[in-house]
Amino acid sequence: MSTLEISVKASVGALELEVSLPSFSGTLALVGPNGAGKSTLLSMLLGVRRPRSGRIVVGEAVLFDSARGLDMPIETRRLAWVPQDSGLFPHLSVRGNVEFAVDSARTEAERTSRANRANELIEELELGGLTNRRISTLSGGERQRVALARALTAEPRALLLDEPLAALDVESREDVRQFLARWLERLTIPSVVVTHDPADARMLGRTIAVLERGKVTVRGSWDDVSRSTSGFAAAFGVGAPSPRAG
Amino acid sequence: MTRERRERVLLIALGALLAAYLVMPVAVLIVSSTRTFTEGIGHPLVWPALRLSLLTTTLSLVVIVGLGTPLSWLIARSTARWARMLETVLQLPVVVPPAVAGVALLLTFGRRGLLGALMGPDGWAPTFTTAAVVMAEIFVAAPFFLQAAVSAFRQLDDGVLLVAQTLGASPVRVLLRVAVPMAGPGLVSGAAMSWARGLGEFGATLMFAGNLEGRTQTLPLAIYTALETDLRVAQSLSVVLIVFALVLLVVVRALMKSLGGER
Repeated sequence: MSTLEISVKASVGALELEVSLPSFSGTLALVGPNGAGKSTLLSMLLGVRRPRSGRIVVGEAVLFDSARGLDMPIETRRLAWVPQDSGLFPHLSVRGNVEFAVDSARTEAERTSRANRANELIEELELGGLTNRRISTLSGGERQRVALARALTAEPRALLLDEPLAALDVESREDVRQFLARWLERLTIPSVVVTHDPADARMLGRTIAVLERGKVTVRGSWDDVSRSTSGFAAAFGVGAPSPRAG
Repeated sequence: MTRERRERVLLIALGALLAAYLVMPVAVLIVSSTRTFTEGIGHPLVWPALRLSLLTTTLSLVVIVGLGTPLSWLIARSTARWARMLETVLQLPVVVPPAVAGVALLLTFGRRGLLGALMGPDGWAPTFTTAAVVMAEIFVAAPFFLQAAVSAFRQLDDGVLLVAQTLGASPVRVLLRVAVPMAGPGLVSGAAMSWARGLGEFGATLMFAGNLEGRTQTLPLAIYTALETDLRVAQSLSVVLIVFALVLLVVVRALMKSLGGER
């Protein structure tokens, strides 16, 4: 099991971000109100934004270390990112999307290994019947599966999912959530799921971190967070026992 | 007549006036040329000019798209102030009169210009060669492609481009495999506008490349020359240009539809 360790400081507009998440494995559900810095933190993990200081380490790989002046570019961080709308390439078929990850390999060995992985994933994620389909013809759940296959084909060091269920309709959301939970459980790489939905956090996160105004205020299991009244309120809206999106 | 009706009629009348003004000359040209077309098209001025126009506009389009795609991509992706400024400066050839563009090209690349000074008095200069025609066309037509391409690239979803990067795609791969296909309709329409502008280019070509039959005399210049001697030839050449423009419109529409239809 590989681990992810994040500690970053940054000022973005009015937001003072100061996040320290000691090394964790499995899935971390990152929750918190709008403007708490969830997206900013993701963009720093991906390498889009540069923190003022800090350190980001996945497994053996140091992605960012301000003390050593180390800042790995986006292309070589090998962090798979699935945005809210799944970020699929609309001009390519399902197979084309997955093969894009194969063809983006930097070495021949990496390419071969990604190609094998792509075939496995197409089978495991039951995409065999969809390979020639256009993206616009897929359902929300199918899109998520294709996006997951494409992301994992790149043999990432970690997986980042941004509101993975927000774009789905209510009926398919529960199915995809269960499916995603099974999948995340199987992964040997760490993953971060950003979500507004307590049901997502509970089902997907082994650890839950509540981000408020740029700081992690509560961190622990679902039980820990739900016991902390203030933490739960901050994460999902004041006194909200029921799911609330937006 | 009610007030609503009167106003509606007024609006239609105003619109129809401009529409008629725009359509009529082209219609008159086509109708009046039907009889003389076959006579005119056989004139010795026609084929060399047609061949030259096709050759030079194809070459200029290749250069414009080949260099303009990376340039517009860089401008569209940059948030820096220089990119905005450059974008504005690059639109200058659109507002500069073609004759002024011709003088500017002469001063830069002419025998007595900047390049001439570097090459020496007996050195090579592009003036009055086919290369000068291509250069003039690139100068006046490139901004049309750049403007359309920058705008098409700006409309792309940042998230999709970032996903491509996270998968390990190099900058050139992100551009060619993701950005260009996704911006396809905008790029095609920009290329078509740019080609049409190059095909009609007259002023800068005349000043910088001259009007030498077979070498620098493109279709518009041939029309100008023919007008002095034989109106029928000018008419036939004009019809040829219009047919080109129409074919271009149809092809571009079809291309954009097929590119857009892939979504």
